Amino acid sequence: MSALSFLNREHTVAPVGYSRWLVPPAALAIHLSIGQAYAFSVFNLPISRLIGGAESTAGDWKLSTIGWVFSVAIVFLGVSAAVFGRWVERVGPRKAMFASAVCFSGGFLVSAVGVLLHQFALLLFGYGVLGGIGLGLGYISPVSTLIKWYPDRPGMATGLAIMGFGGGAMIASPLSTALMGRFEHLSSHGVAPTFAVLGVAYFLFMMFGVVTVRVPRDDWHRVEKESAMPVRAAERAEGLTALEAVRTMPFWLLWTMLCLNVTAGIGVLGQASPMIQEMFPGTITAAAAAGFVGLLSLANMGGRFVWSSLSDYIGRRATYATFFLFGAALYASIPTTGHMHNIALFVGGYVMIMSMYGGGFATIPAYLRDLFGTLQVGAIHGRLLTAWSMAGVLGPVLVNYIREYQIARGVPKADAYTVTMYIMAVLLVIGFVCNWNVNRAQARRRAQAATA
Amino acid sequence: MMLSQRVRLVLSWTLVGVPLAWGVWQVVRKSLDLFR
Repeated sequence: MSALSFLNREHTVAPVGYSRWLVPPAALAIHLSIGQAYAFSVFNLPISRLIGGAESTAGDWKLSTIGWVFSVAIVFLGVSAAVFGRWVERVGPRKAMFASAVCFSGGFLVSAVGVLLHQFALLLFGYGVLGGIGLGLGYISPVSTLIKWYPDRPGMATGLAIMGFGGGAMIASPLSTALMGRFEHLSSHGVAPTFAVLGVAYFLFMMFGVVTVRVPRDDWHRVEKESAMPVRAAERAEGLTALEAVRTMPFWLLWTMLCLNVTAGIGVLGQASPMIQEMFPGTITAAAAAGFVGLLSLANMGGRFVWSSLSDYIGRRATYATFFLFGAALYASIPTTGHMHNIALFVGGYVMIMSMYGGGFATIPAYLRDLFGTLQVGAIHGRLLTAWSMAGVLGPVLVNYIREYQIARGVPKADAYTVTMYIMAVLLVIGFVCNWNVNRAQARRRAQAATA
Repeated sequence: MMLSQRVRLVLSWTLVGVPLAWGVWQVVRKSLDLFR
């Protein structure tokens, strides 16, 4: 047990002279690793041909069955972030990051055995359940620490970490493809050895974050903060526990905002490739569509850093107002740009939409800090992430089913997304109304608290 | 102390920056197909 005592919170307090700029790379090491989840789809086809080889046979798992592995992982991300949020606050970032590394990497190893033995339950438990818990723990573990280290720029600090979650897939996708090619001669299309290598590599990379992360000393504010930017009134909000926060109206307004913003973005992100090919038939090839998807991933990642950093200057409310109003206008204009056959406008519009989708994820921890203080902001953030799980179901369902319904009614494929785009625009307008009411709800909550 | 702190900073940012830059480059390369 004593070998693991370095994980305890008291051993993670920063010594005098420790640079706070060492904390973002520690957080990035975790988020770049768990961001691999967005690249899981590169394994779908190889896993669906484990028995058949070149083609799927009767004994192989169907693609729709394999799709459950990613869905279960995202559900467990939301659930574990909500359930373990308070534990993460109590034990500190180092122990939480270590637990995340063990679960995430362990999930890969269990999945490797599952693929080797062709046992779907093992694959589902390994990557979906165990890996999903690692995702949830890893996602929230650095947030609270970063906010405490950067009271002057909480948006930039959390944006930097959460940007890693968007960037993780960019590393994992080509890396996994290369590893599978390298191990193809061994067995199972190289999937099992690739899982094993990724499990070990991610564990080592995450351990860099574990040993590097530090929490600020209690007197750090008094010593170093004088040189930092002035702290605004909103940033001195009182601290609420997670239990107290979820009983307030501002929490649920933010929950709805995150859910709506993610619903609009996630559905489109999943359908980006067929969408651009169907809206520009004969012009956009499959390779060009793949390039479009890559561009959207870049916008998603960049938006996480740029928008959340900007929110430190223009405020969280103004940032979200921009997401919702500008986003609604862009969604509503997409069918028109499609009809105009203007690919540059279409791509530009989607790049902005995806940057705001990422920005919505990255700016929310700082918004929570403004409203509920730093006391249990990580745990509150964890509970808010259940909105992500909800949106993960809502977004694709809205896009896919409305498209199928439209096509069944005889609408041409190029126009099948029109209604969906207008619905997304309406969702964002609802989000704008929620955001507009946050200040009023917060003022009412404070008045009630003062009276009590 | 200052030097070792600076070295740690450079090493830490390099360790996360290099893989991220490699990943971004892979995506940028693929995205060029859109404009060809």
